[in-house]
Amino acid sequence: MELTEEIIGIVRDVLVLGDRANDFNASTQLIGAIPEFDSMSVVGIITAIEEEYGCVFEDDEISADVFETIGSLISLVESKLG
Amino acid sequence: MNSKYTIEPAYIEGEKGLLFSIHYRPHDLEKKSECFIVVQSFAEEMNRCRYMCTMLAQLLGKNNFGYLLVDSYGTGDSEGDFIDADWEQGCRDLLTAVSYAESLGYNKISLVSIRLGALQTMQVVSSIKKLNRLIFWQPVINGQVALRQFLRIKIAASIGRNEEPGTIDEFDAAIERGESLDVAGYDISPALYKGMKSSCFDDFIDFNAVPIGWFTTLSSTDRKTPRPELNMIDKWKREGANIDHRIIIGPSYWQVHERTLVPELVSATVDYIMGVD
Repeated sequence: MELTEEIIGIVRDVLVLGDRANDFNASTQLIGAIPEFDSMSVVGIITAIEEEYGCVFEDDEISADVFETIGSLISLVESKLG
Repeated sequence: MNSKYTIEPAYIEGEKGLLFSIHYRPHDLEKKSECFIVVQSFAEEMNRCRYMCTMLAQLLGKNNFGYLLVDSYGTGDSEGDFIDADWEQGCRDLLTAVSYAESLGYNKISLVSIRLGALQTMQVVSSIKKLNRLIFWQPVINGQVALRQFLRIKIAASIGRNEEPGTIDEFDAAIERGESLDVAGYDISPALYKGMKSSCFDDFIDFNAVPIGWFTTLSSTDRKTPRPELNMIDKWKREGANIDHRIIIGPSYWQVHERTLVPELVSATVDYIMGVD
């Protein structure tokens, strides 16, 4: 649960969503659903996660599958923190 | 203080073509006046920072400081297309901007370097004779890491487009073959790519002759200054540098889709310049 809150916090901060992120949960759709979610924002989120958790995203992890929902992004981060 | 300033756009002669410049002239420009030259980031980051630069120019002008922005060759409103932009040429264009500031009558030159502009600043700083101080906004300290982030934009842009995203190794190979690379509409030449990749802050931190204001903007109080940045500040301090590191809470103005502004960063920078804590 804590990780979910943290990842939502990162998405909120990078995209400057403010209160709009208050009802985000694991099933919240990301790419294609949030207008601010452009390619620079994807990279901003990856960078913030790498800095926060000391992990590294591989090239093939920058994909529609990973950035589909908050939950899919969390799954990837979880697998890295394993 | 609330001085009047005048705005003077001009095209100046660069080595490869005319360079667009904009000068905010303080109301009583004299030899002791200080000119702040902005050293910009590249590509989309440069665009996203433009209005922050204008806000800085206005506040500096009101406080009787000079401000100068020169677009390097191939960028902004200068001659040349983006594919002509070259890392080393950008460094030389920065020195052209410094000479231009001196020709305007300034005896004190200071640089406000944003993101990748910080790396170019460090590359040329030891040859600026009238340097008064350095200011960094979210400086990039490792060109290779920054290039990797930049190339990720290309991969991310392919999401949902049904196109092959490519890998960073493939992009490297294309550059080695002398091909340019399109990243989100910007054609990156091998000269820009390789220059960026090989540039590293660490190579230049023996330079510690002037005061340094280092500004890190964090998007919320939950975020921390990235560890590599803190390590670099510590290392540079050990080399004898006089660094004032200040943290501002505000959106990532160099990155966010909608135009976002951090007026607190602008006022904190001018407070720093004027010695206000």
